[in-house]
Amino acid sequence: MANATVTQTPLGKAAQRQDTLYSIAWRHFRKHRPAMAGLVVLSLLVLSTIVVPIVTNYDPGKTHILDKYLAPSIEHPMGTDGLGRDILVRSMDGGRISLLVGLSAMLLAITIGTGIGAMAGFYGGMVDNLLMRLADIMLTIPTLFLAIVLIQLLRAGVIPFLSAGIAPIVFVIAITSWMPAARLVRAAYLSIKQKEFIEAARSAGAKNGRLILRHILPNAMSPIIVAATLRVGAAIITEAGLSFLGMGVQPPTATWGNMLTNAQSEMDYAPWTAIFPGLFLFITVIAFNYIGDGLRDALDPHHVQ
Amino acid sequence: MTQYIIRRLVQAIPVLFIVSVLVFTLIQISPNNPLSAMQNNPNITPEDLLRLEREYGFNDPLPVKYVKWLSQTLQGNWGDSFVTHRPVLTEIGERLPNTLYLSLIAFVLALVIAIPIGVISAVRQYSLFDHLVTTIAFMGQSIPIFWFGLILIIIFSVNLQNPLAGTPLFPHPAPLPLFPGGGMTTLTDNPPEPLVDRIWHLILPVSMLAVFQLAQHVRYMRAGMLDILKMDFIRTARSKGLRERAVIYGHAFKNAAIPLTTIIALEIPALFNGAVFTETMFSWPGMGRLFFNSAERGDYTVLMGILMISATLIIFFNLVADIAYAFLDPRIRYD
Repeated sequence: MANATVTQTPLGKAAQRQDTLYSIAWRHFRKHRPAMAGLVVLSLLVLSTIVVPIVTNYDPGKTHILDKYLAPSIEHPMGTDGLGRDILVRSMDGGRISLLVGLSAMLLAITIGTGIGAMAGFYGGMVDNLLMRLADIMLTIPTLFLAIVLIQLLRAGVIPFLSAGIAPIVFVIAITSWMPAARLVRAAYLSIKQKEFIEAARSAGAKNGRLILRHILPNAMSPIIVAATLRVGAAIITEAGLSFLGMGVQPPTATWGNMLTNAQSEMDYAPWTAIFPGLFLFITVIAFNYIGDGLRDALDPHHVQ
Repeated sequence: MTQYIIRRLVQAIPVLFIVSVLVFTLIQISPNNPLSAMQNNPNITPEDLLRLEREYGFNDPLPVKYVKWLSQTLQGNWGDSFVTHRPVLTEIGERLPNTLYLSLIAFVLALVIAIPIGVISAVRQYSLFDHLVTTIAFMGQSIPIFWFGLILIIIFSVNLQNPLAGTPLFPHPAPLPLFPGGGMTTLTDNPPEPLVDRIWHLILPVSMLAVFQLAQHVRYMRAGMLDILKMDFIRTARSKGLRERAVIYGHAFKNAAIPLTTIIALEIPALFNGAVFTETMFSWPGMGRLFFNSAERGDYTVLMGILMISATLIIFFNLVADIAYAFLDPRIRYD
C-alpha cells in the first residue's frame, strides 16, 4: 500500500495541495453565485428556526384568542393566525419540523434508492430486471395517490413504530420517491463496474460487498449528492402538500404545510396567514435547488482538470 | 411500429396486474373501511353490522377478496361506491372528463408557451431575456403548487375586481372578482356567455396546474437547443449560407425537442398529483378531488377504480410519448 506522502512529488503548489475531487468541487461551487446565495440563505434560515423560538417572548403554541387575525405590525411582523399565535415565531418553529422531515425523508429515499440501484446495476440480469420493474410499477401509480393511501394506513397504526409524529410522513415520502435515485445509481454502477480498477480489485480478492460499498460507491457519489440535494426540496414540498391537505404532520405541531391548511378560508380577511409560511417554504426550496444546481456544475467531471 | 405498439400493450397487462394486487392489498389492510362510519349510527345494531360484514364478504381472506374483485372487474362490474351507492364507473365517468379537460388544456398551453420561450432564450444565450427566463423558470420549478394557487386566488380573486362587471360580457353587477376562485361555471344569476364563462373559470386553475410544467419545459427546451446549436451540422448549414431562421427552425428545432419529449413522459404522473391540489382548491369536480374525498371516507371501491384507471392512463400516455420520440428521431427504431 502506497502512503499518501510518498506519492507526493514537488511539482509546485498545485500538486502539494493534495487536490481531491471534493476540494476541486468546492472551488467551483464557490464561483456559482446563486448556489452560494442559496447556501447563505439556507444557513440563516436554519439558524433562525433554532434561535427565534428560543429568544422570542411568544410561545409558538400558546393561543391568544383576543389577538386573532392581527395584521402585520412591529409587534407581530407577519401578523397572527386565527388563534392569535404569532406567525413569524410559528413559521420558525414549524420550519424546523419541515426541514427535519425533508432531510430525513431525503436520507431514507436516497438510502433505499442507492441500495436498490446498486444491487440492480452491480448484479444485472434477473436482479436488475426485477428491481427495475418494481421501480417502473411504482412510477405507474400517481405518487400523491399512493402517499394518501399509505399515510392513512400508517396513521391507523398498521406498523406500530411508524404511526405517530413525523415518522409516518417521512416513511411515506421516502417510499414514494426513491425511484429516480435508483435509476441514477444503477446507471452509474453499470458503467463503473466495467472499469479496470474494479477488475483489479476483484482479482486482488475483494468480495462483492466490498466492491459495491468501498470501490464503486465512492465513484458514484457525485450524482447521488446532486440527486440528494434536489430531493430535499421535493420532500419538503411533498410534506407541505400532504400537511396542507390535512394528511401530514398533525396540529398543534406546526409545519409550513399545515399552517396553510385553513388559509384558503381566511384569505378574504387575513391573507398574511397564507402568504408567509408559504414564502418560507418557497425560499427554502429555491435555496436547495440552487445548491443542487451548483453541486451539479461543480461535481461535473468535465470541470475537473 | 404496429408490432411495437402491440408488444407494449401486451406488456402493460402484467404491470397492471401487479399494480392491482399491490394497491388492493394496501387498501384492504387499512383499518379504514366504510362500515366503521356506521359503528356510531344508533339505527344500526351490532348484529346489522355483522350481517353487513358477512354480506359484503369483509372477513374473507385477502386472496379470496382479490379474486372476487378481479373477476367482477374484468366483467365490467367495478362495484358501487359505499358512500353514494352509485356504480364506481358512473362516479369516475362523471369526473374523469373534467380532470382531462383541465389538465390537457394546462398541458398544451404549457407546451405552446414554453417551446418558443426556450428556443429564443437559447438562441440569445446570456442576453437580458435569457437571464430573466432562466431565473423565472427556476423559481417556477421550485414553487409549491398549492401555495402558488393560494397566491393566485389572493391576487386575482380576492383583491382585483373585474373592470367589465355589469357590461354585456359580464352581466353580473360589480363587485365581481377579476377571475373566479372556484367552480367550473357561474352558478349564480347573470352568468356570462357559456364560452366566456368557461374560459373565465379556467384561467386560475390552468395557471396553477401549468406553472411547474411550463418552467420545466422551458429549461429542457433551452438546454436541448443549446446542445444542438453547438453541433457540426449547424455550422455546415450556416456555412452553406442558409438563413438563420432556416437553421434554427429547420435544422436545430426538431432535434432539440427530443430531450423535452423524454421529460414530458416522466411528468405525466405529476399531472394527477397537481389535479388533487388544483381541484381541491378550486372546487373542481374531477378525479383528484374524488380520490381525496374517497380516501378520507375509506370508500375503497372508488379508490381502487381511480387507481387502476390512472395507472392505465399513465401507461398509455407513456406509450404515446415513446411513439412521439420515434417520430422526432428517425434513428430510434422500435422493432
